[in-house]
Amino acid sequence: MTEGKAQAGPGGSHPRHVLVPLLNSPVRLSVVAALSPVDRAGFGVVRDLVEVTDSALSKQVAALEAAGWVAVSKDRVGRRPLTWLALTAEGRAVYRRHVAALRAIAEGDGAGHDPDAAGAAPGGEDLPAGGVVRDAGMRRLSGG
Amino acid sequence: MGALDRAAAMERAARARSGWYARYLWVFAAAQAALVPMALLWHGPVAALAFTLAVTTLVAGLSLYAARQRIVRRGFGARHGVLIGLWAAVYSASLLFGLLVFVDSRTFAAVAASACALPLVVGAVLERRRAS
Repeated sequence: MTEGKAQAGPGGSHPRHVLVPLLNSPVRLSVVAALSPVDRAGFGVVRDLVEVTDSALSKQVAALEAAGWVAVSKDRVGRRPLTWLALTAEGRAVYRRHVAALRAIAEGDGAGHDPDAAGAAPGGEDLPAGGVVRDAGMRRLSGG
Repeated sequence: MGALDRAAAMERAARARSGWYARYLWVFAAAQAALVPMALLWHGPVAALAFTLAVTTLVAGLSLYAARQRIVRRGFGARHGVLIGLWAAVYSASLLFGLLVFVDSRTFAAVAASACALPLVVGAVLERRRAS
């Protein structure tokens, strides 16, 4: 999978600040992930990979295209229209950062104490002052 | 399935779907076993006609196969250009030596066919690895 370190976002050093809201949708993330290793892919190929309907994919692609992350081009094979999807350079960079942030969160690599997590630990237990709380939280969430 | 797992699975699936290029290269490589000896050992107008038909069929078939694909791996153009360039260089050298130096040599024809197939086979193996 794509490598890269999560960078600090504008809200602080926790990797969650780098997450892109538009990619929090599983379908949109899947579309961008499917396009990341290719130059371009046909609309039908992406639809089959992501396992959604034509109209659902159209809607998500339109959102990604409006954000400037996916380029849509139309071609013609004989009389049949053909739609190609491709990630733009910006889309590729955004995807890499998003995945790096997800990986950093999953591995508990966020730096420092996240003030937004105060009082939010599962079970409502008090948080240790100044400590890193993700590890306990993540272990509890993952059941490990 | 978590978001990370989902993204990784999508990338793997997309890479696997773009593995058609490995099959393209395997067919092109296998064709060298027939075309190179045909070019070097078979002479005359019938041979020329048969060779032309064989090459036309191969090129048309492979081009049609490639044109029907609906997914193209990143960097495909550059990789294809390098592989075809290498094949063309070896093929040209094979014709030069085979028609001027090692005339009608079956041994040379066999070696030349292998040499022409080599860059295509290496490309196919690398593509298969990238697709998995």
